[in-house]
Amino acid sequence: MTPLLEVEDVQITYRPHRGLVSRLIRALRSDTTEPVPAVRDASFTINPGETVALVGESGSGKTTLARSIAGLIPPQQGRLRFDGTDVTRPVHRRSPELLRHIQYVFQNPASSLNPRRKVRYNLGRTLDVFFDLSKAERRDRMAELLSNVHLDPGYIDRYPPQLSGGEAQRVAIAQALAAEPKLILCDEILSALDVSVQNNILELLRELQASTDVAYLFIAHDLAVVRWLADRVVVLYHGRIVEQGTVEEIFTPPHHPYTALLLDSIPGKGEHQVSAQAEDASTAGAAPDAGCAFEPRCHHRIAGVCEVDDPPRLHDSETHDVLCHLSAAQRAPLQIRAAAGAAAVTSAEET
Amino acid sequence: MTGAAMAGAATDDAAVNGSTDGAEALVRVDDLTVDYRNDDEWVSVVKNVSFEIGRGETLGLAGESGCGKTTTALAMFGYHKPGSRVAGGRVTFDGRDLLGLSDRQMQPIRGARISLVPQNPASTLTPSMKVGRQVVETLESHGVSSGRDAMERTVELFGQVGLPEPAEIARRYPHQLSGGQQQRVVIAIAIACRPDLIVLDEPTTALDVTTQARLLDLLTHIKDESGMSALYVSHNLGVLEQICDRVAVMYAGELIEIAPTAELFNRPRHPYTRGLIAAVPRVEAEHAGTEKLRGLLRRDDLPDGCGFAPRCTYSRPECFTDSQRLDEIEPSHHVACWRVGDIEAGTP
Ligand SMILES: Nc1ncnc2c1ncn2[C@@H]1O[C@H](COP(=O)(O)OP(=O)(O)OP(=O)(O)O)[C@@H](O)[C@H]1O
Ligand SMILES: Nc1ncnc2c1ncn2[C@@H]1O[C@H](COP(=O)(O)OP(=O)(O)OP(=O)(O)O)[C@@H](O)[C@H]1O
Ligand code: SF4
Ligand SMILES: [Mg+2]
Ligand SMILES: [Mg+2]
Repeated sequence: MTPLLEVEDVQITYRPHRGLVSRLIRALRSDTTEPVPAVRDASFTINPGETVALVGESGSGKTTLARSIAGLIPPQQGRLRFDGTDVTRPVHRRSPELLRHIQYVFQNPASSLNPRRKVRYNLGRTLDVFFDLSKAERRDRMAELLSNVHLDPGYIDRYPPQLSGGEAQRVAIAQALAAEPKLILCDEILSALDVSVQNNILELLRELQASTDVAYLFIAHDLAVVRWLADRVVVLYHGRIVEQGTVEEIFTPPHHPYTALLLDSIPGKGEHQVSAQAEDASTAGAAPDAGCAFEPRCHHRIAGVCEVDDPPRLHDSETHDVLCHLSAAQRAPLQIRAAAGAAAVTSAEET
Repeated sequence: MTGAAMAGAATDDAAVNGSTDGAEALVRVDDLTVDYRNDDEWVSVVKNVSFEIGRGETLGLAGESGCGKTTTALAMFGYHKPGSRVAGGRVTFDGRDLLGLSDRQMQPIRGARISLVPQNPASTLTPSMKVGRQVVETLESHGVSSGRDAMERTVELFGQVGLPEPAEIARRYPHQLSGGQQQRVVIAIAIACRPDLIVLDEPTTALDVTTQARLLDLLTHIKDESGMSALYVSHNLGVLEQICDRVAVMYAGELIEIAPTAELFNRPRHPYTRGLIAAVPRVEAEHAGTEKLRGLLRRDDLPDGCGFAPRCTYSRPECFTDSQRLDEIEPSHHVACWRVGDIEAGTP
C-alpha cells in the first residue's frame, strides 16, 4: 500500500526577522549564530485510514511539523509526498484538490474562524469552495455538520465571538469535516473540551474513519486519548523524533527515556508527578549543542557517550524505532509509574 | 448598569453556599445572573450562582462545554462580553462591589490585584510587541518595578513558568512562540504583580503533562508564599483535584455541587458530578466510554426544573418541573438535587 502521507527527512528552521535594521545589528555584532531548527530529520508515514498521534512537550515542534505538511511553512530540507506525488510546495501552489484533501484544525480554534462572519458563512464557504451543492443540500449538510459536533441548529446564526471556547473548537472541527478530506491535521483539537464532549468527538472521528477511510495526524498531550484513538505514535523531543511505533510498542517498555518520563507525568489521583516535580527546572528546555538532546534531563545517560555523540536510531522492531544510545535490553528495565497512576485514576471512578 | 442595583434578589441563603468557614472571604459572588442577547431576546447563561473564595484559597470550577464557566470567571473581573448583561447579583472583592465599578475604576485593580488568564491566551498578547516588553509594561504600569529591574524580573518570571532560554524568548513576538509558550507568557504576566486573586480559565490546556506539572507547582508555591487566591476553571478533573482546596461544578448555568476537593472526588453526590468523574479517560487501554454520562448538554432543550433531568438516570417527573437549590447536605458540601438521599442508597 502506498502511504497517504510520507514525510521524509524534513528539516524546518524559523529564520529570525530579516528586516534591514536587524540584519545590520546582527552584522555589527558579528552575530553569525545560525538559528536552531525547530524540526530536524523528521521521517514518518501515515496510511489511509490510520491515526498517527504526535506527542511531545510544549515547543517540541508539533505545530511546526503540521504547518509544513499543510504547506504553511516550507521545509529547508526533505520531502513531503501525498498519495504518491510530491507536494513539497507552499499552500498557494497547491491544487484545490490537494487543499481539500489535507485539512488543518488549528491549535487555536479562533484562528480557523472568521470572527466577523456567522457560523453559517464559515461552514458554508468550505462547502462552496469544494462542492457544487443545491441550496437545500447545502442547508442540510450544514445542519448535519453541526449536529455531528453536537451543536444545536441555532448556532448557525452565531458569530464566533459569541461561542464558548469548546463551541468554537467544535465549529472549527466541523469546518474541516465539511471538506471530506483524506487527511486531517488535528492540532490539540480536544483541549477546550470537557470529557463528555471529548468522548463524543472521539467517537465521531472513529466512525468517520471507519466509513470514509480518513487519516488523522493527531497532536495531543492527553496520553489516555492517544492510547485510545491512535494506531501509531510519534514522539518528538526538541524537534527530533525520539521514538515511534505502534500504540502498544509506545505504551509498553522498553521506552525511550523521554517517553518514559512522559508516561510518568500523567496526572494521577492525589499522588503528585514524581519525576516532573523532582526535575531541576534549569535543565528542562535548552538543548545541548552536541550529543543527545535529552541528555541533560536523562537519568540513564551513559557518561562520556550521550553528551558527545549523536544517538543512533535503533530499530527495536520493523515498526518501532528509538533514538538512543541505550540498547533495547538496557532500556527494558526503565520503570515507569504510569501503570500506578492509571490505576489511581480508575479508583476515582469506582468510588 | 450596576450590579448593585440589581442585587435585590440576593438572599441570605446565598451567603451560606460554599462558605469559607467564618473568616471574611476575599471574593463573594451572590446570586449572579448573566444574560446574553440571542436574536432579540436575552437568555440567561449563568443563573443565580453564589460562592465564595477565601483568602489563600484555590477554588476549582468544572462543568461541560458551554455551561457558563468563562462567563462566571469574567464576572469576577468586573467585566463581561459585549452583548451580555448582568441581570442580577453581586460580586464583592475585598469588600468592594466590582460590578458597580466603571472600567476606569477597575483599571488599578485589574492586573495588580486581580489578574486573568483567559481561555484563549493568544488573544491578550499584543501581536506587534515583543513578549518581554509586554511583561515589563505590566510591571511598570503598576509601579512594581521599572527599567532594567523590570527586564530582569521578566526573564526570571519566564524561567519560573518553564520557558526555555527565557532571555531569548523575551525578545520574540507572540507569533514566534508555540501555543504552550504563549500560554505561559500570559501566565507570567498574570503573576507578575503578585495579585491577591488570579482567575485562570483553562490555563494549561495547551500544555503537555510535564510542563503542566511544573506550572501547577509554581502556582501552589506562589499561593503558599504570598497567600494568593485562585479561581481555576478547567475541564481537567485530574488538575483540579491536584491543586484546588474546593471544587464547584456547574451545569447549564447553575452551580449544582460544591465541596472540599477530597470530599467531592471521594463522595460526589450530584448525578452529573458522578458521571463527570466516571467519564475521565484513563491510560489503560479500555476507553472510558460515554454511557456513564448519557447525551450532552443541549441549551435548546432545558426543562424548567433541574437542567440535568433529561440526562439523569435518577430523574423523576418532579425533576423536570421543580427547580433545585443548593443545600448543605454535610458541612461544606452543597448539592442541588432533591434525590441526593436515594442516590446515596443507590436506587435509580
Ligand atoms: N515564527 C517563529 N519564529 C521563531 N521561532 C518559532 C516560530 N514559531 C515557533 N517557533 C519556535 O519553534 C519551536 C517549535 O514550535 P511549535 O509551535 O512547533 O511547538 P509545539 O510542539 O506545537 O508546542 P505547543 O505544544 O506549545 O503548541 C518553539 O520553540 C517555538 O518557540
Ligand atoms: N456573546 C454571546 N452571545 C450569545 N451567547 C453567548 C455569548 N458568549 C457565550 N455565549 C453562550 O453562553 C454559554 C456559556 O458560555 P461560556 O463561554 O461561559 O461557557 P464555558 O462554560 O466557558 O464553555 P467552554 O468550556 O466551552 O469554554 C454558551 O452556551 C455560549 O454559547
Ligand atoms: S542517548 Fe543517552 S542521554 Fe539520550 S536518551 Fe538515550 S540514554 Fe538518555
Ligand atoms: Mg503547537
Ligand atoms: Mg470557557
